[in-house]
Amino acid sequence: MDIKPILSSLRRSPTGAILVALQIALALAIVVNSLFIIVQRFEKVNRDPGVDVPNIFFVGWVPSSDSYQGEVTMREDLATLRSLPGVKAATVINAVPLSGGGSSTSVFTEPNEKGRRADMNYFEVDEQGLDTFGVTLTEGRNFDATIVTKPPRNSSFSPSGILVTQDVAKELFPKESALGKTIYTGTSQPVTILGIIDHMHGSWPGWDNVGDVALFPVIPDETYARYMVRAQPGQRDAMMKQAEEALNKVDNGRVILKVRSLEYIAANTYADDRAMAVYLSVVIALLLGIAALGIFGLAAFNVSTRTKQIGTRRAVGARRTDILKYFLAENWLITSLGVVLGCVLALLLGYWLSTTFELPRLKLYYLVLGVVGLWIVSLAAAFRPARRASLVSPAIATRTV
Amino acid sequence: MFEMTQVTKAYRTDLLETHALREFSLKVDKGEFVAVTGPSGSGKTTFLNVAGLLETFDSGSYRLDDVDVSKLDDDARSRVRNHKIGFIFQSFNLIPDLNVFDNVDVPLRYRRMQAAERRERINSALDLVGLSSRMKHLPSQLSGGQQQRVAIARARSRVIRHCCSRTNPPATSIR
Repeated sequence: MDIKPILSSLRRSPTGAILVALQIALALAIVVNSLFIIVQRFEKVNRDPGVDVPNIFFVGWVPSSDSYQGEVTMREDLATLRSLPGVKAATVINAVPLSGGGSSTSVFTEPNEKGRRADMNYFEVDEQGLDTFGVTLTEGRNFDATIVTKPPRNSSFSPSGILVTQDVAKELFPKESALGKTIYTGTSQPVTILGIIDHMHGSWPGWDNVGDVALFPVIPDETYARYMVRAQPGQRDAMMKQAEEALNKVDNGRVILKVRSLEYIAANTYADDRAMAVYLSVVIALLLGIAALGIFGLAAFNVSTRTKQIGTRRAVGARRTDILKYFLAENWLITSLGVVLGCVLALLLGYWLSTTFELPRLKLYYLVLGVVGLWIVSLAAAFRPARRASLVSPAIATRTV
Repeated sequence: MFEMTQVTKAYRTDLLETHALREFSLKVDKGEFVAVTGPSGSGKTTFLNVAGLLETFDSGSYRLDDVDVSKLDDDARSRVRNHKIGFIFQSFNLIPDLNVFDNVDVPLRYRRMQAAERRERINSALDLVGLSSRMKHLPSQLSGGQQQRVAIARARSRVIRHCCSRTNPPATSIR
């Protein structure tokens, strides 16, 4: 296919082609960046959180009367929960993983905030915390009940030993095992690393260091405490109901507020990400649809205004496929002009998004994907008018009306 | 050689059937020059469309250079038009977006001819009609007579073995 005659035609009447090319350029710039954001959101939502999300649920409660006895009440409740046949493990906990709310602290390899530092999200749990999360240790051991402590309210208590994820261990001790090492809190209190957790996410899915998590052998303050329960596979919903009923039967001075599955909580946390992905998907579909309509419109207009010219070309020897290829090639050239301009716009938009909203820089293969996608869309949109052109009879050339 | 035998062509609508060619026969030998004349509506245009393979016919036979063209598919008919038939349309049918050179080039491109050979043929054809100096002009920048000469050059640029002129009267004079 020779493109010189096509370029000559486009040069003579460039307005429509330029407008469609601009439309394609804008579509490409927005589609590529939107796609990039969607994929990022999906990657975020579909990351492996490490914990047994489908089988975990939480019981929220508050002290309600003088008969509430702090740790004793919590121990009673936990014993009740653990006695349910469909419960695998249960613990008291200070925050809900993947919920968007939690606690964090900084630890150092040397006292006085010196040496290597790790900022980590921590959960206060008892000896069943590890099992309730459903995470495994790669090194070391779980803490036992003897070191689980309920510190006085508003004290600067630090546990003697903790469990940390591999992410934290590598940040603090990148060249050696962190197991058994002593680290220091911000107030220079020493803490021993008792075990290394393979992998788990903490409370804030949007945090870059979401995998920097520690488990503290601490019974949390009533202000934050709730129970985390891990049911046997497939029994979560039944256990949620039974747990609430069982706890309500025990009158120990606290009232059950709500029972929620971790799946529900995580879905709520990721709702914005999902909504953004859906919203941007709709934007992409609309932009591609509008671009396709523009291409279709221009191609259809060109065919209808050149019917006699098509007939003449057929009369002097063009085959149907020659006519089809002519209009597809013309459309491809217009689209290519648009995508070249669109690539520049997409990179500029990507740069602006990355600097303004601290997003990652647009990956170039998204641009390639966008270009190929728009080429396909444009060819599909132009195919029908081009095919109509190819069916024009050569006898049209001799008709005067 | 051109030979039509008992060719029939009718145009049909829901209400009307119009016989444009009824058992039409014509034989033209190599080197012969034939003019088709007749009153309006006598079927001259239909005959030329059928002869030029622009339209099919209903019955009869049509042999061009000893080939039964009624049996050719659409691509083969295009090839025959490109190789054996030259058209000079009544309104010239030049492509307005292409200059004189590119207009003459149109049928040659469909023949997949090399660029150098095409250029040589186009230059010869434009020389023949005295338009070498206008090859970069657009049709709209030419007079009617010049446009007709471009159409002749386009038909002449090929190895023309049969030339069906579609110049119905009154014909534009060629100087």
